[in-house]
Amino acid sequence: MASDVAVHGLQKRFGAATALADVSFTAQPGRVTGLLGPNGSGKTTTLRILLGLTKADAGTALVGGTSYRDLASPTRTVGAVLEPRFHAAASARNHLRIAATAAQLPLQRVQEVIDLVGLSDAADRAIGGYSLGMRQRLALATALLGDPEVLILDEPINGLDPAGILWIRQLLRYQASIGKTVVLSSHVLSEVEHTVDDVAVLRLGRVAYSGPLGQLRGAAMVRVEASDLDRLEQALRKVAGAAVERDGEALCVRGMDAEAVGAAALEAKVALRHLSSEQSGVEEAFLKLMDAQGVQA
Amino acid sequence: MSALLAQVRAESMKFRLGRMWWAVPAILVLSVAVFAAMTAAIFTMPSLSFLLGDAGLIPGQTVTGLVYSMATAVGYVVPLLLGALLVTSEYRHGTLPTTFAVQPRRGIVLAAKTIVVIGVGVVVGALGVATAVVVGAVVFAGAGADPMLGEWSTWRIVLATLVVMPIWAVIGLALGVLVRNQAAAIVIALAFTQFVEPLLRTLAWASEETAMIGAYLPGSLADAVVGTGLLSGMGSVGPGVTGIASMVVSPGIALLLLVAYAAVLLVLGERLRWRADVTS
Repeated sequence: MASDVAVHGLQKRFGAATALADVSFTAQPGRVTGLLGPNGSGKTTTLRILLGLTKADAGTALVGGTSYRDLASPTRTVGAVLEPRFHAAASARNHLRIAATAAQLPLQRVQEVIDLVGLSDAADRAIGGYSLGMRQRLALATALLGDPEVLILDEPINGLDPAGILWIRQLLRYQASIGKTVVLSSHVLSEVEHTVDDVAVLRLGRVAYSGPLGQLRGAAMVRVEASDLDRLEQALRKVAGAAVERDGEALCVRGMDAEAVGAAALEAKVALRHLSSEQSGVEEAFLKLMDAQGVQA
Repeated sequence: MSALLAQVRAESMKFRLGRMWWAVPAILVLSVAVFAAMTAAIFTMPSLSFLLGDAGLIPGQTVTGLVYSMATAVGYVVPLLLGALLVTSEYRHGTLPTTFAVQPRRGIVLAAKTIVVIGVGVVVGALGVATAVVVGAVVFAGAGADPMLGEWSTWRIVLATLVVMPIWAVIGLALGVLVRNQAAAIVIALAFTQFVEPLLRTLAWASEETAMIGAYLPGSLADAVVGTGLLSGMGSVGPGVTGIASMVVSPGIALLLLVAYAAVLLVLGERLRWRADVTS
C-alpha cells in the first residue's frame, strides 16, 4: 500500500529567526512533488522535520499517517536523500553495507542499488575521492536500499551533470509511475520543471502556492488584434472561463489558448491582424510568485 | 531487540572505518611496552638502582603491580579517545542525519554505540594488560626477579583492567556526545589525561584534605579499582610521598563511582545533545 506525505501547519523557530511560519502541503502516491523556493525559504527544515531530524514547534509531518520516528520499518517506508556526506575513508559498498545492516535489509540489495545508480566501477574506492555527482548517486542508492514507498530528496540534482540530471529525472519519473510518492526540493524550478507533477512553493517559511505545476503555468496569455475589435471582444466575452482585457489596439485573453481564440474569431467572422501566445514559463510564474509575496511581506 | 543488535553490528562496522581503530591501540601497545619495560628494569636491574636511591628496597609485589597496571595507568587515554571517536566522527563527516534516517529511534543508536565501545574497551584493556604482563614478566625474569605470575595480586590487576578500560571508553563516548567536535574532543581527552588530572592528583597530595578530594578524580578511582597505578603507586614507593591518595576509596566503591561518572556524563550528553535537532 502506498503512503502519502502530509505536512500540516508546520512552525519552527531557530532562536529569533522564524524558519517555518506555516507550512502545509501534501504529496500523493504516483506523483512527483517539488518543494520549491529560494535558499532559506524553509525547504530543508521542512524535510528534516519530515525525517524526524528536527523537531517542529507546532504542526505535523506524517508519512502514511505516521510520524517518521514511529514508523515500524523506516527504510522500507521512506528513502531519504539528504546532504550527500559520508565517512571519507569508507567505500560506497562499505557505507551501503553499514546502512543495510542497521536497517536489517538483505545485503544483496547493496550490489543492486550500486548497479541501479551507476556506481559499479567506483563502489570499492574511498568516498573521499568521489565527485559531488557521485556522492549524490550514492545518497540516492542509500535511499533506495529499502525499496521504499516514499522518496524524500533534498536538492538531489545539486552537482549532477546534464546526463546525471536526465538520469535522475527518468529514475524519479519511473518511481512515481510504479506508484511511489516522490518529494524533492530544489531552488531552481527549471531543473525540476520536467520532473515534477505538483509543486509546493515556499517563501519565507510559508507556502506561496501548492498544487499542480500546470496551474502555476496557467497565467499564459493570448494577444490578439483584429479589424473589428469590438465584435471580437463581444464574442470572446461569451466564452466560459475567458478573461478579456483591452490593451490599446489589442485584446489580452487569459483562460483560452491561441487556437480557441482563432476559432472564436472565425465563428464571429472577424478577420485577425495578429494572434500570438505569450507563454509565461513556470520559471516566470515562479518568480512572479516570489515577487508578489515579497510585496506582502 | 533485533534492531539494537543490528545497530550494534552497524556501529562496529563504522568503528573499523579509517585507520584510528588500529592506530590508536597500536600506540597503547607500544607505550605500555616501553613504560612497563623501563619501570621493571629500573626496579630490578642492579645497574639502574642508583636512579631510585632509598626507594630501591621495596616489596616485589608493589613493583610487579606497578608494572602490570601500566595499561590503566598510562593507557586510559586510548579507550577514552576511541569512545569519543565513534561519535565525533559522525559529526566530522556529517553522517548523523543518515544514521538517524536509517534508525530514527536515537536511543537505540546511542545504546548500540555504548555496547560497541564497551567491547572496544575490553579488547583494548586485554591488549594493554597483556603487553604490560608479557613485557614486564620478561624483564623481571631476565633480571632474576620473581614475575609473580602465579599470584592473585597479578591476576586481580588483569581482571580490573578489563573492567576499568570499558568504563573509560564509555566516558569517552559521553565526552564525544557532549563536545561533538572531533578535534576539541581529542584535545580535551589528551589534556585531561596527560596534564590536568595528573597535575591535580599530584597537587592534591599537598595535604590530607586535598588528597581526599583528589582520591575521587576518575583516574584515582580507576587506580583504586585496579589496586595500584603509576601515580598512586608512587605513594607506596617513595617514603617522601604519602600513599593515601587513591587508596582511601575501596575498590568496590571506586568501581561504583567510576561507573556513576560514565553514566552521569552519558545521560547528560543524551539529554543535552543527542536529542537535539540535527543540523549538519
